[in-house]
Amino acid sequence: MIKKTVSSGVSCRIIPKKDFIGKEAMIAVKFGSDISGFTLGDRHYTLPAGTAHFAEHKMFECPDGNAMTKMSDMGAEVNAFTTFDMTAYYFTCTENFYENLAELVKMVSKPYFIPESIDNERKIIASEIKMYEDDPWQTNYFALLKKLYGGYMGCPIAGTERDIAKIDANLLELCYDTFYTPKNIMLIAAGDLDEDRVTETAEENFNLPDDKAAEADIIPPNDGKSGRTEVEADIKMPLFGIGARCTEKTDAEDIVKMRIISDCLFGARSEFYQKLLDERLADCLPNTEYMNGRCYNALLVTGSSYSPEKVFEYAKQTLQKCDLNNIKRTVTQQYAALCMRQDNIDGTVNAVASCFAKNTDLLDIYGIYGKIVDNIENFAPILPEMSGLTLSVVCKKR
Amino acid sequence: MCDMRIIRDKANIFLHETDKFAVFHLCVCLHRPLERDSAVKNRLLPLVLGSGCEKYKTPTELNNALADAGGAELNFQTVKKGDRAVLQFMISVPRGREENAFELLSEIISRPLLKDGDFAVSKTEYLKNIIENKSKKDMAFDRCIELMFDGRGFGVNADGRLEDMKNIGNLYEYYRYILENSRVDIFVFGNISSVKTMELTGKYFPYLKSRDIISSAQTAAAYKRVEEGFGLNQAKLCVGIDMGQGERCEKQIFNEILGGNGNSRLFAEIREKRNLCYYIGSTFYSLANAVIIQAGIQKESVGEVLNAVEEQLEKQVSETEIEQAKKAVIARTKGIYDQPFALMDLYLTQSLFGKELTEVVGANRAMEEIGAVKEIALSPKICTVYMMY
Repeated sequence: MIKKTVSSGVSCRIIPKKDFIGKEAMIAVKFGSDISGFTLGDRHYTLPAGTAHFAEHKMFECPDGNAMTKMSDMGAEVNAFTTFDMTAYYFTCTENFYENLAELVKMVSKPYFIPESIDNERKIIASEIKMYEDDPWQTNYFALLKKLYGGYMGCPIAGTERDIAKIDANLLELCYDTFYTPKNIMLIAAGDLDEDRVTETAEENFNLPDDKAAEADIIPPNDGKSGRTEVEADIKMPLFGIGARCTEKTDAEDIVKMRIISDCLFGARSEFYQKLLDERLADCLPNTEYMNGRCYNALLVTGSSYSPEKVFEYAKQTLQKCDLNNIKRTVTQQYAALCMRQDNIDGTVNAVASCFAKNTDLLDIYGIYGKIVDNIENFAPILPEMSGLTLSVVCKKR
Repeated sequence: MCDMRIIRDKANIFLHETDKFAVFHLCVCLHRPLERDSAVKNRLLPLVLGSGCEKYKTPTELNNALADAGGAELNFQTVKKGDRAVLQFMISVPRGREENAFELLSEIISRPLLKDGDFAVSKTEYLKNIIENKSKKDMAFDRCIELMFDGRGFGVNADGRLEDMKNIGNLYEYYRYILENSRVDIFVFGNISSVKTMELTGKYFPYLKSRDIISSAQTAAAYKRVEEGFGLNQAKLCVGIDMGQGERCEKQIFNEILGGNGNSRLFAEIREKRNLCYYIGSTFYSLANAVIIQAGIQKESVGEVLNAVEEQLEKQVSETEIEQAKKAVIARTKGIYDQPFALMDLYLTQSLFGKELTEVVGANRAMEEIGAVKEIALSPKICTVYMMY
């Protein structure tokens, strides 16, 4: 991976993929749904939930037409997404890569927020919100986060209809000026590419607002009440979400360690999973995630079971016992998965962007795994102190 | 770009020899006719086989074996291909571990974990959960296909039905029967020669013999419009279109123009202009000669959405639209040379068009055919409208 910084201050990562036909570019912006407000100078601004996502929807609109249409006409497949800690715009193509890249960079450099079109977009986003409301897994996930971290984090990334009603062109302009600045942005390009042409294209077309000394309010940690929460949905087998907060700040090494610990405790070869199978509490492996952001880090285990309380009890015991069996094989498997992901351009680009949003670097993650593999016999990670153990349940409508 | 080599041996071997991937993929596919009575069994088998075998009895043991093979990954599933269910058993290993992949996959497929003459593990509860907790968008799609192809293979839900779970009987006996009576394709992707592939296939899969399976053309049933209430926040609309006569590549281009990407007619008209939805798009199912449109809408706007769909279907296709759609389809087809799963899917589909396997049209030829299209003269007809609300 080649690291560069263009004169505007934007960091670039170029991932050479010799002989690959597909190419991808992504612009990642450290502006996600976890920013509930910010202070700029002596003024504080509060953001309705869904603001970053709303900006993502409107960024494609340009004074000379829709950027998505222009890039599609040049053979690119274009899309964007918003997560807790970033907004990302990307395209994949096999031809006209540099022309599409120029278009993507120009689009992010020149917002065009028109009040009428914002009203129209509100209807589209409202439809997106309704789509998520019909998804019990989403309901489960955000119910768990709400209990762990409080209301703002428990709100879907797209916000609610009430939230998005408060978003207007002025607010989007303000957010753009504050967050779409060089230090918050990374350009990632992958494929069989000419690295000089990538940086030249970035150099010529980035034209961003200056960096601001804004202080973002990232979800206040430990604002949640923890415990138990229950919601109803149109499902048969109940869904469970088990979560616990870890330390507020982590570095790349902590992230790797926590991924290994989570997998040892709750993964495919864990005693926990075997117990769920033996006692017929689950029929498939629950999903284990170490969710880490800039100031929130949580261990989440989600799945479905007719006995969520019992699963919760076993999870609690597993965390208390913290018996880390099979570390060596877990590390081998995780490291192999990381290396095998190199064949997937989109997966690699996403991983680089995700690390950037969390103030880490994918190369550091590889390096840390490499060191652990080299010294596996002496590797003995310790589970950090955890708090707020929580169970969320989505059960059948009564 | 090198297309796949197809070697007709005891099984049909599809080899994509390349050194650009860090991963080696091996996939054994068993083709079965898609029938209501056996659908649930076909869906269960990959779940059961993927949970352990005689040598690696528990998930822990199996996962340890995967780690010991350099960090191998399994991906077992059943996919619908026209009027067939294709059971896919795929293993991926880091480059250099090719023989481990053959050995491990053969172990799992040939020596399952048994108890009292049947599989020791039952996955019926798991499958029941998959079926019952399916997303409403997917459920609506399944219902639309069931209605549109009522009584035909493509209309059968490849997940099976809950009521058929009672009649599974001895699943292992069924498995033994299909091992001997199915078309068998083996897909191989990676830095491996054809000689080595043949050697390893002969060594580890001597028991796999391909049998031809007869497919029939999938024709849509008469027009149906069905609406069902589920208390949803957003209605899920599915529109089934019979593509009628015409060349396959023309239909593919037409679908691209209609709803194949973010630049399509439906996206531009129904989402961007009328703001009636967040998602709308269409997919061409070549083996069923059908295009299915999917959209999430407000129940009250169904009339307006359907009128707009009809307008877009009837509108003349311009030369500019054809050229742009050709570019998009060709670009996407080229891109699949980087994606083993997509390449496998393309070859599976192409191989079911009634030709000898050695004459299967590869991705390169498919792109040439697309490139040659100059005009589109089709008569697509809406034949199913299904709304879940």
